[in-house]
Amino acid sequence: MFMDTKQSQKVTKSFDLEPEIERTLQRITTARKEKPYSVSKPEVLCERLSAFLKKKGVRDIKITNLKRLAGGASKEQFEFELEANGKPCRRYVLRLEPVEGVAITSRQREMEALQLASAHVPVPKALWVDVDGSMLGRPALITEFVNGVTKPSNSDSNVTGFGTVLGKDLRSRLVVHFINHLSSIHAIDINDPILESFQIPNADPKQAARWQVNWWTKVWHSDALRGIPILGLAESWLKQNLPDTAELVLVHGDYRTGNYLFDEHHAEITAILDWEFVHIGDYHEDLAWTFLRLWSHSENNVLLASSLLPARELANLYTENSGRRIDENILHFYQVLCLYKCSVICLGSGLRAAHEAHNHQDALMSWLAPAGYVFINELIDVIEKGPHL
Amino acid sequence: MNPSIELRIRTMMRALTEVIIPAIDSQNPLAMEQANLLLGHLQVLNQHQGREKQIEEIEHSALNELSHALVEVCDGGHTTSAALSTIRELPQGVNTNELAHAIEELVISIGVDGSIPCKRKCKKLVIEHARSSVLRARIWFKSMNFDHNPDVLPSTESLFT
Repeated sequence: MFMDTKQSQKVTKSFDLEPEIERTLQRITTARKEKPYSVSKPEVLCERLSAFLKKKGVRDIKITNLKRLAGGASKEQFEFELEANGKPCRRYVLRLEPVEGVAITSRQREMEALQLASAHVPVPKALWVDVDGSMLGRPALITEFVNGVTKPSNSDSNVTGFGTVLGKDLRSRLVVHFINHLSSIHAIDINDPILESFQIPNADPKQAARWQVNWWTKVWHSDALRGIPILGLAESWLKQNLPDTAELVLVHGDYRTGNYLFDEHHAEITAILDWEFVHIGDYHEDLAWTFLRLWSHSENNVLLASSLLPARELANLYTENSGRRIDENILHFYQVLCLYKCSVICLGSGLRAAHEAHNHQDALMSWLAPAGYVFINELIDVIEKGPHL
Repeated sequence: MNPSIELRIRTMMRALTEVIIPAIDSQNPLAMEQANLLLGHLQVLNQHQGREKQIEEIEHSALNELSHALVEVCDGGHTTSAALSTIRELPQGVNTNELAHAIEELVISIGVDGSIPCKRKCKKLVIEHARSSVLRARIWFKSMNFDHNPDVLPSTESLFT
């Protein structure tokens, strides 16, 4: 598998990082010089949207009911109705990047991943992208609107999306789809030409893991307002324990309950969301992510990973479904990586975005920051005691 | 008499609850979500008010202790030596952010070319520091409900006794 397909990278680079991620992260430097972010005004956005769609070849445009959506810690989200090309009115979602947020990522990659994944799993159909924000004011992606909820409609409001509580019946039905879809994502052909902005980490067996470590340590060193010694220790640990990746797959990067829409009545997943961390890597990474405690829910003293099943049972279900074996040492590495990444997101990027007034939800960024300590608490356990399954 | 910070926060919360939130257009879920978030922030601020400086001092002192302990055990190659010099040259009264950055850099450097015994001792010291620092933070922010079981965490008062 290694060094025989497209775009292999030289390991001799002093800082080995996926080139597209490196380009995307350069935007942190530009962002840091920008003024406080002003939230988008719907009336201005409506005009820009109309011009943008016209340029994309859409005719007879009529945009109505453009309004903000709640949620979206990293993007400003709007829904709108569009009547065009003589076709009936349909609903769409517009996701705009603020200057900074919990992460700086690429809309182009998100678009490519959604387009490819749509043939395999339910996702919102990605239609138009403004990669550099030259038309819509900020980089943006437009998808079709998908019905569904991220948590039961009778549950308590929770702005963070952590610790969703699903009833026994609902979770026993959702978990089947959850694992089926994860297996399907991991079975997608990573050499598909749609993935134009993705590079394959195949220069050596450790490159997939190294790219992830270098991605998130770079973000931390760019964004941290205050150093955290244990994150320095975790960085060293990760660099010294890079595992080999035997099989490269498409990794969603944020696969958990809270990041998919489901139909409450039929208990079916209607769309898998939040593809901004998508990359090519090791399937253990998505599993490690789904097992993190903060988006688990405890019932009768049993921790349900992603609020669905105990981690061990979820892992077994994945193996039965995908045929992929879980190596506990590799899983351990990715648990440390995922906890490091979450700490960086909360205590690094989110806090920095609030500090610079670079987000439309600065108050949420500063609210989320202390969740980083809960991730670090788990990180210490995982470094000391090994993987928890 | 000046109105206390506690009173001012409490009155802001009341204004939000009784006047502002009911007036928010139900078609604007983000505004509603943000208003409720502000209410949450104010509630936590009320619990924290007057004590932030103290908690920062505790954090600073713990970092100082860690830096001294690391300097004691530090031994290694060029990268470790350079990070050690940086930490030794920090001015008296350096702010907490800079001190913490310098310690993290030293820890990373020890990972690069620290001696084996130094790496072992460094790991022990950093984990000990992290355990107490993170516990402090979890107690300090426990009313935000990120912890799985916030009820088992000691009271905020325990941080100052």
